Amino acid sequence: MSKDVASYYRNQIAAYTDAIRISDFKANVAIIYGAFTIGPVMGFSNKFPPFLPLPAVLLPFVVVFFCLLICLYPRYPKEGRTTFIIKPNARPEEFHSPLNPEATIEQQQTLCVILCHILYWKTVCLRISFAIYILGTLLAAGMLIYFWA
Amino acid sequence: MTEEAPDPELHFGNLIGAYTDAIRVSDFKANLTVLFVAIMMGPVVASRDKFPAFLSLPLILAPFIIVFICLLVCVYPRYPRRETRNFLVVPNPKKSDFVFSDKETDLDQLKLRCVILSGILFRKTLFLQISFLICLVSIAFTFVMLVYSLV
Repeated sequence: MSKDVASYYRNQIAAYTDAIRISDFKANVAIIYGAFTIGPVMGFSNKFPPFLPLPAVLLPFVVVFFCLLICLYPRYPKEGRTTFIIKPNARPEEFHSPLNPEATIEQQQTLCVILCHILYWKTVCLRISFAIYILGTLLAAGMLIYFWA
Repeated sequence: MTEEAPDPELHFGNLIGAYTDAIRVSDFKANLTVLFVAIMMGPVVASRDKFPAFLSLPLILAPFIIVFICLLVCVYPRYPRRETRNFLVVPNPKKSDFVFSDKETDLDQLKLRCVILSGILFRKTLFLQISFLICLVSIAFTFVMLVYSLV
């Protein structure tokens, strides 16, 4: 029974870690995509319609970069640092193995809480960024069609 | 329901796995951030004639340089000497360098590896956080400047 509980939490942690890793990968690709697209956009700034000044075009990029960097910002909350020590000069005595299965389960629950919180904020920032990208791309497509027609 | 204490070797093995994973993720983020900053540097420098008078080119380039230094320090490969017995990185290794020794318990070795990885992750995280903070502050400043130019 104890093993079932432990494997349940282990699976939960693996699922969260996997989702966080995928979010990080998406954010990394999205930030590189934004960096690549900002150059051509600035290059064509003299061809924009008069109601669309360059600062207005650059604002969504700036918001997206901010959100994606918040998404990628490395975080190791203090609640998890009792087992996952991050110190420049840690000593081997500071690393303890759990005394009983209950302590292990409590550690795993704490880890689930931490990972859930991290994943939530990553998803919020990623959704904002992707929504801005999608709207910006749709707007660009609409304007291209309008000026060609 | 078993009341046995969890296997310490398994616990430290998992912990080492978690540290290695976090270090790998940090390296990946640092590599892509350096690429992002390098790509962004071109458009920023190209539009220097549109900047306000108080923003000189060296002032604009200073955050880029600091971020580059931090990220390169972050991805700089390190193999601490404390672990040379288990993980050799030498120009001319011999077969005799790789001998199984049971003098020290596996647990001590695992704890030592945790200590080393913790130190490496601390430095990587520190430099990555400095770089990200500089990027975030620069982006916030750009946002303010863009809004100011619009109003």
